Amino acid sequence: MLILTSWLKEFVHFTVPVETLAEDLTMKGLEVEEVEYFYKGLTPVTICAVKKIVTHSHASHLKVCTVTTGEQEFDVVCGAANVEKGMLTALARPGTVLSDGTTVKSSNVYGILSDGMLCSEAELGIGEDKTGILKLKPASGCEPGKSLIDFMGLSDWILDIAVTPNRPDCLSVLGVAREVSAIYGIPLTIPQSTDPQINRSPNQQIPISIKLPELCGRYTAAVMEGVQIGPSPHWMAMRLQASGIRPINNVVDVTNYVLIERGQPLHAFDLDSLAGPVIEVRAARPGEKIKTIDGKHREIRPDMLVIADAERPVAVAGVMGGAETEVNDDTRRILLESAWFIPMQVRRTSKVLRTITESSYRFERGVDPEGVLSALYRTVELVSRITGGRMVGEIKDIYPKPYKPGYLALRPERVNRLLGTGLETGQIAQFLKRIGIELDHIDDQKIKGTVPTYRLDLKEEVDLVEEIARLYGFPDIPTHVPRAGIATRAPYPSQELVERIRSILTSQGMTEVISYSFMSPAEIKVLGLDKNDPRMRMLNVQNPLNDDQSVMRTSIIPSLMETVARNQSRRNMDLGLFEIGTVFYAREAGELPFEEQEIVGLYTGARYPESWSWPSEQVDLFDLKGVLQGLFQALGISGWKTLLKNADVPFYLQGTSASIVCKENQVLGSFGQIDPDVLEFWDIDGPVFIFELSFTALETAASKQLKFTPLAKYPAVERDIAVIVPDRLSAQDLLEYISSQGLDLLEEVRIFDVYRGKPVPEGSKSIGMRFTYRAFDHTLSDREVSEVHDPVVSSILQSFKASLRN
Amino acid sequence: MQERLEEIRSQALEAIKSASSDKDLENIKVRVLGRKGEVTLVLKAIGKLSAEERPKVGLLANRLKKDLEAAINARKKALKDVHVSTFIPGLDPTLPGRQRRLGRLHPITQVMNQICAVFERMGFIVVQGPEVELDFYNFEALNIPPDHPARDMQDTFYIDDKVLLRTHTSPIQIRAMERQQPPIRVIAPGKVYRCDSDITHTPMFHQVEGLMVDRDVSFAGLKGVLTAFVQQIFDSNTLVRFRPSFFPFTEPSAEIDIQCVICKGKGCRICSQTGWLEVLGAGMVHPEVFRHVGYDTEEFSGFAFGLGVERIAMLKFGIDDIRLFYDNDLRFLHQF
Repeated sequence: MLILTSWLKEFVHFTVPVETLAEDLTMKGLEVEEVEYFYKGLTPVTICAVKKIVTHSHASHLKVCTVTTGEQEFDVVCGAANVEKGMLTALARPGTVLSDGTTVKSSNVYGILSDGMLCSEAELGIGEDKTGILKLKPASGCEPGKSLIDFMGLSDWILDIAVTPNRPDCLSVLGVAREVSAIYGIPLTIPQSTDPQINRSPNQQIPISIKLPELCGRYTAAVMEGVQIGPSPHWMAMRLQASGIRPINNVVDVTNYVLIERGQPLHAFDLDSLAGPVIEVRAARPGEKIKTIDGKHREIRPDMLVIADAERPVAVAGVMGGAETEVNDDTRRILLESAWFIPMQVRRTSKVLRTITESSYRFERGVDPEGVLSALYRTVELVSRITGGRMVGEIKDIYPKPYKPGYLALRPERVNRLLGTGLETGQIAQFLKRIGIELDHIDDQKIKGTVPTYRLDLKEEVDLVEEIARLYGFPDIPTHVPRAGIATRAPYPSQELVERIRSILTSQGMTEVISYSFMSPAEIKVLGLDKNDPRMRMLNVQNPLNDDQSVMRTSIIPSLMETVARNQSRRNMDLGLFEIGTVFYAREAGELPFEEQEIVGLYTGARYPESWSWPSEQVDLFDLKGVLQGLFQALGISGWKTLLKNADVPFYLQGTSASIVCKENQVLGSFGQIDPDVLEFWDIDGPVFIFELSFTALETAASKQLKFTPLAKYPAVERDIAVIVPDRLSAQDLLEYISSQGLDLLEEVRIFDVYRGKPVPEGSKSIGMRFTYRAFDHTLSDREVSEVHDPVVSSILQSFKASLRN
Repeated sequence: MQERLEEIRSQALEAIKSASSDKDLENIKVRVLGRKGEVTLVLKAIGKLSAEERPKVGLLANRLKKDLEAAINARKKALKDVHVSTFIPGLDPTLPGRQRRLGRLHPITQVMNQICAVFERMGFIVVQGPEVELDFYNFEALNIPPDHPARDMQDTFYIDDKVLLRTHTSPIQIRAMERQQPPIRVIAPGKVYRCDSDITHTPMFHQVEGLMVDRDVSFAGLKGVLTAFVQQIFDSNTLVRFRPSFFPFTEPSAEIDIQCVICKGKGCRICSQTGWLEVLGAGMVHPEVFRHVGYDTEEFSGFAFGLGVERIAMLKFGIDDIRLFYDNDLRFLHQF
């Protein structure tokens, strides 16, 4: 809401400087976002004296004037008839912004450089006169070189106020004036317009009816004749412009002027275009259409309220008037409307039509039902003053169920308990009076009173508590640390686990990313999933910002692929990334989706940062699997294994992937190398290795309580063997076989070498294993070890048709 | 006897001189000075000498012992010096070290953790809830009925008429209150969604909201808790300003500004010349919200607050474009 301070002063005579006013309004609940000096465009304008006038050699209607600002002289081309030697006028130097918005520049006028402009009152925006340039009377202080702003004392500011939705009463000059009055405790002066019942001629009555009184609470109208349509006077146009409203013609401008001044939306019809003429407030009929004053053809629906004449809708109630009945240059007779519509009705219509107007904005928030008539009086008064029109007949006021003002009680004790203050009953009553509450009962138990009709937001006791709080001032309310019992509830285990996973992954050199929860369906389709895969159950967003964000993600993989692509495009090639976030699987319509936490990590690029001494190597699958091993170890997940046969995940390159299962064959997730075809979709340079884990599965598998294993006191004995086995034998099968032998003394088997090639026969590979034996209570002898080790070696050779490599 | 000592001395010194490791020197020490060593044997035989010769030889033997020990130590030191200067010829300690890949937490996670930690120290418990929510929890239970203009304050992503992406984490508070009676002290961190995208808005961002309900919880208490919070997150001298505002679910409602961290209140581009930066919204829980969850509005009162994690992170780190958080450029992520 833009408020011009000079306009505000007509209602409340505040004396504080504008900066203080803005600060005080902000601290009392009307946030002033910006204070703009209204005449700032005139800063470069100085008083000058005309020294010499010569007719322009190439244009006889123009004069070249030499003007002085005392210290400097300028040549200015001027076409005004009233310019004369010796006169004092205003020189607009380049940079001046004129009232029509144009900026003055040095310009070449038929070969002569004009170094500015001599301006009229109207051009400067300080008066009506546009017949000639401003002529200043010699007076004290009126000296060449002096700033025009200073000389004329032009002081006016525009306050840009952010009015919260609960305070529609402040969407007007009057409303803000009431606030200023309440804040400073200074009186409010409202210019009262009374019923202008002149030239009463009952014959002129126009039938008006409200068909749906539950949607239109009040409809008032006045008919005026003899209006002369033309531009508005300067003062009115200027105030409208300052309020962000474009002047149209004097009748429309008056309706807008009263709207800004009183907060009451109004509309003027060209009476002679109304069929009947009658006015009916009714529901739109199926198939009805209207062309509104913004030139748009609109389809209206039966759930909308319209103002109609005998034949058709002539306005969408509370939103916008129709073009066919709008006031035009030939209008002589008008019908002025001032009405009150149910907020919800206006809001719905405005939403469907996707049109927010000054009217709908106010109606949907709530207009003072008791201000409807006085606003109409004010409009009639201004129209007759400005257009010469006069009212005929009586003002119509259809008000089926007059508004019953609210009546509230407030307990002073409640105020102090909620705010933590120690306010006296008298003080509290005083604040209530300032905001216009008519008190009829004051004691320490209760203060009671009638709420002004414009404060539709004051509905219960707590609403008054808020009024007290803000008027007393938030800074003056004490600051205490509250007393509370000791909290005994443990944090949620999952919250802790997420923290642990994050810290384990970062400690292994992976960097966390956070991406949007949105994706495009194409990003999932490219993964080539089965149509029954849960990730194909995507949740559509009705109103996405763009097509790339039209569904909720069912996998974090697309998010990370996008991140890789973006980083690669900026030459960040070596990436170790992970994300922990929610994925969403749609369920039945109207039901909330299934939400699950997923953890995805990836590696691509060089294994080590480029350095003078690191080898230059690329990461591979086992760098990634190593991270997983570290994660599982730190989470205390033991007995997990990789499964090759269930790993037919289509977005992995065939043969590179495995699923990870834990004890009860619960699937924890999978890992592998992303298929190059998938990478191509995002234009990524591969290879990219990725793992995905289900948080829920991890949570189930993770040890709730890590248990200490005593450290061995006696030395271990190591035995190395290398066995030649068929190529297709997986390392995991070999290790599982060994562990299934249940050897007491065997502490660990570690693969230290895998070799293919000569002298190992084709189709076979050599696996080097280190067996670590240890007893808990004594040092093992060679004999003891051999007794265990030799049989297990022979049984390996036998079971896998293997041979020892020498 | 004396000749024997001289002989030991010359042989031992020769051996020490040619020793090439600490181990060699230890062996020499044991052989010559050990319990069964050459010098010890001489000393043991001293009893056979005349009373005249005994102190003389004893003195000589002890001197020899000292001399050899000194020689061994000197040689040890010399060997060590040789190691350092010759092991890697031309070692240059100014060469860069072998830095491992850096693993960092996203700055939002870091700031979110700091924020939660402040409130957890005050006894607030972290609670969570769904990101796709029912209209009821996101709006209606928070005193924002359908067709209320306050819905315009938040541009909502809808799934259908009744289901939406939560626009704040307040629904978690409602769900928490439905589960338990007061006293309650919770914070709800999480992702929230609004359809908006520019230099200061992203369609997804993070919030931390908090709620405290008990007997005699007052606005003064709200001021106390949030002032302490701001001063822990920024610094203990940060000026805090509470001013009236409007949220449908609180009354009175407040917005909390801190003195601009960039210009220290003088006025700059970041604070739009006001000297203040808005960082929190808060207020006393509206009785209508308590009625929705069946709390006694006469017995209990409470306050709620909410903040945007990105906003706090931007102010703390001096980041001027919120979209950088979701760009995930490694050069950005590795700065925190």
